[in-house]
Amino acid sequence: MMQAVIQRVFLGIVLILGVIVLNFFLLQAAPGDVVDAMLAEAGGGDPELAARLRQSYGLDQPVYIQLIKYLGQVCIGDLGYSFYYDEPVATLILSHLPTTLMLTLSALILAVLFGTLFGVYAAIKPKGFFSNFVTVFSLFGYATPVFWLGMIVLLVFALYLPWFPAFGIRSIPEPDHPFDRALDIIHHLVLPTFTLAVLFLANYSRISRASMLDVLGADYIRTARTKGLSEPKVILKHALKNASLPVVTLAGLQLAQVFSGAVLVETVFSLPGVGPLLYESIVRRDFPVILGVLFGAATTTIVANIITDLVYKWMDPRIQSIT
Amino acid sequence: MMLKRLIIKLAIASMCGMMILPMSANQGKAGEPVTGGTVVYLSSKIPSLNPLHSAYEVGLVTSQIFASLVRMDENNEIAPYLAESWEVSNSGKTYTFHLAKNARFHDGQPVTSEDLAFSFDIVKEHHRFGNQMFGPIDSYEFPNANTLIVHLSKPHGPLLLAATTPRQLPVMPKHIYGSADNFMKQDAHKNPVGSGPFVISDRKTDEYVSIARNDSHFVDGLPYLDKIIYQNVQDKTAKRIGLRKNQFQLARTDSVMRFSDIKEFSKVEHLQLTPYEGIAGGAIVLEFNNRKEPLNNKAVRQAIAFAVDRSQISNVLHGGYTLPSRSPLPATNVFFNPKLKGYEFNLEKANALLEEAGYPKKSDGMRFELNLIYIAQPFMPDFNTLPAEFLAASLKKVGIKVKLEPLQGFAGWAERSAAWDFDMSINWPGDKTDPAIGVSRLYVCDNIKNQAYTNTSGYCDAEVDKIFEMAAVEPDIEKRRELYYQVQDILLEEMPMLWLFDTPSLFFNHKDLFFPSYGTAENWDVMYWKTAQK
Repeated sequence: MMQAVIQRVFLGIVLILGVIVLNFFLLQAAPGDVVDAMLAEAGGGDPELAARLRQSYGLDQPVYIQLIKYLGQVCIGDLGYSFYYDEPVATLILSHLPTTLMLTLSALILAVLFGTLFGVYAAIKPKGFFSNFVTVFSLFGYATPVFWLGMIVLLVFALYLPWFPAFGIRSIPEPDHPFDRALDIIHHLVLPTFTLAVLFLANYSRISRASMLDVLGADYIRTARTKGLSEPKVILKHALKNASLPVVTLAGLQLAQVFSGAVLVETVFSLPGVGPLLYESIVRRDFPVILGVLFGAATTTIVANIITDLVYKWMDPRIQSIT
Repeated sequence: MMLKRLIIKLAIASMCGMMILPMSANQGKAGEPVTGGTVVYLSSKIPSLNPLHSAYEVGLVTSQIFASLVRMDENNEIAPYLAESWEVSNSGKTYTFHLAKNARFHDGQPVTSEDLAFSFDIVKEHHRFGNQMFGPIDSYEFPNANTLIVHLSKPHGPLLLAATTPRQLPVMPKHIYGSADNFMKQDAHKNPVGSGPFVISDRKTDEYVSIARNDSHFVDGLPYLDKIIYQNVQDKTAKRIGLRKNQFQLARTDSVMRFSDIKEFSKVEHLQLTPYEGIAGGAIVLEFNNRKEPLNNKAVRQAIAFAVDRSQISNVLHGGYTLPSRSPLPATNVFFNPKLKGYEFNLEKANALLEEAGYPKKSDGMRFELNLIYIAQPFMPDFNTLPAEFLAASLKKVGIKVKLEPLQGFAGWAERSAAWDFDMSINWPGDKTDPAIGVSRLYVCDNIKNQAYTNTSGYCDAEVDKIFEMAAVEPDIEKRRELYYQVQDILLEEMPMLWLFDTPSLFFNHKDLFFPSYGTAENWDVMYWKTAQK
């Protein structure tokens, strides 16, 4: 077990290094650099100044030297300096992370919780109205582009029914009492969380409905029923535990997708999260920030996958080896 | 297909008589200023508070935190600010500035001649136009703490004009910025200390910046407002919801909406459209690659100018909110010659010029093909994509096939522009208030460089160079005007590029808010509410 974990972690590190190198070369292929973007934004500038800036940013050096320097930095935990924000990349990402975590985690939890509930309920009465509704709603959620849904949600719940704010994570000025401040943030997070959750809820309800239907037909469920167990006990204790394995797998795998969904949702709702930071940095060709965010995203995904494997094993003792 | 639709749309629109100028005159100059109140400005991201940062919105904040040496008054004339008075020697090579004695930085330290000299030096080295603005500054004399004598290596016309906004010359405290070597990476940028009308009160990166009145500002009675909040909103739907619901009292139209939407928002009761009426302007231009055949032929360039009905771009595509350019200088520029009319729309002349130049129509009706690079959607389609498609349709009529090449983002376009890898390019150079800073750079021979916004069209004429040089070192404004009139005539004849339309800045402000739209439109210390605010 321990050996397996170490092996996975080692593979993970190799993978992360690979991701960094790949991203580095991908970015080099993009036209223009941060100095181009800065000067273009300001309507031009002195060519000598541009040359000086490139030199001070180290952009005048050959690509492989830039890469080696960057890898060296990352190894000692330094993600570099943002030319556009005038701040270290690590500080920048950390200051944007809480918003993204709040959004993605609450959306993921909502999606898993309600998705599974919907799925289970639909599976118990597979021919009922609700089951059909879940199928249609899932398809809708699955097929809807997130920015479109966000826009519609904005128009309905911020303009026509002005119940929620249209932008930002907090009011200005913030309420004085910490409790009110928390409420204020939650109030701002309702629409974005709902938008993001709807998209992923679809997956969970479909998967859990299908796997629940599977499990409910199994022999051991019949055994459980003949033993005289109450129906809720059969469903929740015997069926759901097995049926939720695919859901857990999906939740782990989808973390990366939830993150990329958050990029769009945060942009639509003007949340100060990692998403808009990444987007802006791509437009500005602020490479250290892009690399830093992608590094963080890759690490999170890989760690999430390792954790999924472990949880999987814990939930299903039949799985002996996780490698 | 798309072009055809566009042309039909244009025809219908022009028949409907949309060619009116809906800009209203500047309202609200009357009405007594009320002291106090808050304004929320709809901003984009404010990544830093470094006064020399490249982002436009950063300059809008730091222009309130820092004071400049002089400023523009409501008649667009240079007026005292940190400098109470100044003298220029007859040779034009010595400037003496007398600083306001009561001027203090936010930390209580007085603003001295040392600080001013320090600021000149920092700007010279680190500002994007530092060299063009203050390059000729040679040495300083410090007769006393409030007087600075600046010696120039040669007379330099644009010096005072360049010092009219903190965006170009923020006067910075030497005792705070002076100790570190690398100005651009200083911690002081997190909480900048200036001598301007406002101080930073709160900032959350990528959310908002909030600034509050500097109670001990050295100008009596200013600022009027208590507080300005720069709120970052990214999504256009959210911006428009906020504007409708009075969550912002001030916004630039181009960050919120297309020209076609302005009319709709003008109907919102609490909003008022205010055009910028200051001295800094810009134009969208069609740059020709003057090195390449057939564009190295003056007649071809003129033919293209005759072939494009630019009034259609302004009146139909832009709903009348832009004006066709009449000169290499935008009409807002101090040195613009108002007698100039620019090129008329004349297909016969265009065809005749092309025939004369030796480019007859071939069997397919086309004479030759040119590519056109521009920044693609979604970046300001009104300024890039729409004019590009219109140009392609227009030039087709005179037998010039245009291959549209939309490029991704500023950086994508800048790379092609810098490599001179284009036939025609849609460019948006600002005039940076003075032609010696923002205009001559596009035409003079020694600025033909592999860098966007230099003379990438490759035009070179010794006489034009000479006139630009003379105008730059001429201290007398009337003599400068004569020289710039001359150069406008020559360039209009030579057509190194086609000046398509002047780009206005339009603002939506609350109708009870006076917005100073003159000068550099950054003097927000004189912005005020006309009625008392809750």
